[in-house]
Amino acid sequence: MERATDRGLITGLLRATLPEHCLITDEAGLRPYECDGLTAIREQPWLVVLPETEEQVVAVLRLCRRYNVPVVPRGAGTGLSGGARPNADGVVLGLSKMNRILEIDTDNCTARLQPGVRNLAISEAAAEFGLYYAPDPSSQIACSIGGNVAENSGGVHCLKYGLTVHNVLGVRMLTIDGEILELGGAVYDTPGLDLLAVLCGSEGMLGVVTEVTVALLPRPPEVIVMLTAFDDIAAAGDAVAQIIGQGIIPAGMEMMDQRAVQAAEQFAHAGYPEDAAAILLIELDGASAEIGALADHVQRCAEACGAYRIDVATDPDAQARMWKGRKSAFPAVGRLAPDYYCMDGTIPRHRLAEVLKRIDALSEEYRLAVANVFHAGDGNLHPLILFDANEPGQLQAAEEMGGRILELCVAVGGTITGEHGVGIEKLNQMCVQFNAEELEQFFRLKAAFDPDGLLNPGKGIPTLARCGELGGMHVRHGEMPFPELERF
Amino acid sequence: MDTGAQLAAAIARARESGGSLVIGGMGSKSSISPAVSGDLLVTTEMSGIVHYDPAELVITAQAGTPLRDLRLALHQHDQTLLCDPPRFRGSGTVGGAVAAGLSGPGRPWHGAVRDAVLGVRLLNGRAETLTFGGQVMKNVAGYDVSRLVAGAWGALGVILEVSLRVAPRWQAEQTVGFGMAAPEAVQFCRDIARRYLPISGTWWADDRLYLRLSGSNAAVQSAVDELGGENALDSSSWGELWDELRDHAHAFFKPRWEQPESPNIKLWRIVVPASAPVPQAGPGRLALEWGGGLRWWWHDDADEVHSYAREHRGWAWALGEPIALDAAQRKLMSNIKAAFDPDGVLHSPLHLTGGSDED
Repeated sequence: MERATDRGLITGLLRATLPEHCLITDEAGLRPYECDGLTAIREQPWLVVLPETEEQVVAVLRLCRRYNVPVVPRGAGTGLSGGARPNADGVVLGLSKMNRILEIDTDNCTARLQPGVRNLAISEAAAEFGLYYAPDPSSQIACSIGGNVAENSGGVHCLKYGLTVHNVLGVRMLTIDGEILELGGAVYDTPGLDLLAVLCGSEGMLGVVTEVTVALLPRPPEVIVMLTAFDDIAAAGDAVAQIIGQGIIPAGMEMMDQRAVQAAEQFAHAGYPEDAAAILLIELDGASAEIGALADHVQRCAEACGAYRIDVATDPDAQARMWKGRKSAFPAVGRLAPDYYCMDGTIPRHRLAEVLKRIDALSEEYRLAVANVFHAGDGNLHPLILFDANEPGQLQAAEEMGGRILELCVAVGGTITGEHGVGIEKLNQMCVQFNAEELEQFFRLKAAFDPDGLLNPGKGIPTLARCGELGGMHVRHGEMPFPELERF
Repeated sequence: MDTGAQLAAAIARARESGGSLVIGGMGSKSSISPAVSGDLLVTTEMSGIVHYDPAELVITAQAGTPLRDLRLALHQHDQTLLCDPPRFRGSGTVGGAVAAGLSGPGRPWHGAVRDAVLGVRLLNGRAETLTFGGQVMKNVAGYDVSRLVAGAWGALGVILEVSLRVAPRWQAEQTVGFGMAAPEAVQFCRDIARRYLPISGTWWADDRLYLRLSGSNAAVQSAVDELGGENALDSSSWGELWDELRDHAHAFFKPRWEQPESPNIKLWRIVVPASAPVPQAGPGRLALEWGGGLRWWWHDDADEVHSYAREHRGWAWALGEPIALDAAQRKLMSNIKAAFDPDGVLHSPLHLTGGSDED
């Protein structure tokens, strides 16, 4: 089918469908939608629609389907991989106006939400009942639950409490045809194929979410946060393995290397030891009867692995202060250089020391400094590559180096993205992680939902041609990848 | 030729000749699986733990590995599979557990089988061997095919190998019992769900509610003190109850009607919101699990059960019978089936129509 290119026709039809204030067509109005949190990649959208009801979303999808217009669903626009980057000939479908909390169901400990509800607003609304929503991505103040479903967002507590997929019980999903599917609900499983599971993390490429039902948990009565400092980053890694090996699953376990610690301390004055090679922040939660013994146990593990300083915070203010450094690590590192590039690989934890060493080597090779922030419990590494986009060649060098870090993550048995998604940013690295047959399987799965490829086209899964041009990246079992494609 | 390659060859042959295949492991689910016909493709030759590093909390096993072996390996390191899939008649494979996606008594608190799945190696209906996911907790590269395969009853392909998230075993486990009628039990479960308690299972039948508590010694003891109840006994006495429930070895799951008053009486598995009202049922006919979110009902009227489940925004399945699916969802699921198995070579108990009609 031909792409509809008549912007005037589509605008007119949308105008007849939606209230005027739900449609953005002027250049100044479109500008904020040029990119998401990955600001380096921009494109002016054709049109932006901001529907206020599910019926309006249905109408927009039907129209786009009929006229073969690409649709890019968008939540709060905080994504870091360019998943919401618009198409020059397509509609941005922003769901931010659908932001009502429909129900806090204390009988079933669930919340029913429109997709534009902010992540943090869920826990705020549930607080009066002693309940909360566990996944807490660092953008939780701004990011929305619809976007969390699209990205399968994590957060600092996902080792113990899981990702979005583990905490969402149901969604109302619209297909590209505008058909409404109710997947799950306030229930613990669904009949037939688990469409809800595959929708989580599908980056807006399979359907549009108009309602989400999430599980709420009772707040743990006791929380302890511990700052442990090490003069060797490998020792900090050992401490993580030790603690888990002892059968303890902390609520959160975050590691920062020296450069990240120093930046965070100078930014947030959280009391971090700037001389430490690495610090490990450990959050423990539990019942009053158990928390003391748990904390003692963890403290002994950390000491046994060589922690030279351990600070324990028991009151909420001190805990917030301790967390503040970690939570402001990205902006803090941002002050070290004009630009930084945030990577998101996951590795088996026991390969940490080796991976950090090789990142150091890459840092020297490209002459770009790196600060490392690490969700240590689950192996999700965020190397932040520092550069200056105004220096010729530095952006390209940072991107290339980032790509090599992700390839390294795959080589040690990990993955190119733990929580930020592929979007448009990691398409090349997808060719490293998956072979041609696997990529084709992804495309066939996509076509089962969206046969004409109108939902968020060009994201998530690279074309075989693209992988072929990159050449020679995926070598599994000694076989050359994409032998069917020409090299050039 | 390894077994994976043999299975691939069998699929390729069936594809060419228009044959149909049914994936089978130890056959432990034969009494609950909807009937399906085709030549049997057996996975039990592919057995063994491929990789297990307790500190990484991940185990990778070949699909035909008996669940028993997996459990033994994990117990050696004081770890366990929290989703606790059933081992009907004491058997069952890892691949079968993932394919059926049935979770044990701890589902609401410790997650479903699909939640534990981190990665699979899959042989699809085109005889291609594909790898999705991996051995790490967080992975959002590509669509989450490994979790889609969980609970797909083999419709999308043969699971060759699977990586699962594991967890430390509990220091302590206790079961407490209370005498109460079903509506009270539902209300009680709702009230305690809002409290921070180490609940890991609930079972109500015959006017008794049992709660399982799992966690540290201190947390379990303090919960027992807080909840009261009768018959607070240790795990040596009560551990069996939960295994029997999980494996349907408990007396409730055995037909009690030697000469059934109705030939249509079946055991229904009903998933509804935990707070849904309890239906009227005679003695021994109804049981509640998952804090009220899973209900077992011996009943002879399919329409009545389905309308009860629908009214409360849930779903119902009579064990051994086909699983009813909403028409729009069935259409999408059939498209997905065709995306993995365009010729409909793999006949699954879900009876999704792929490229060609299944029987």
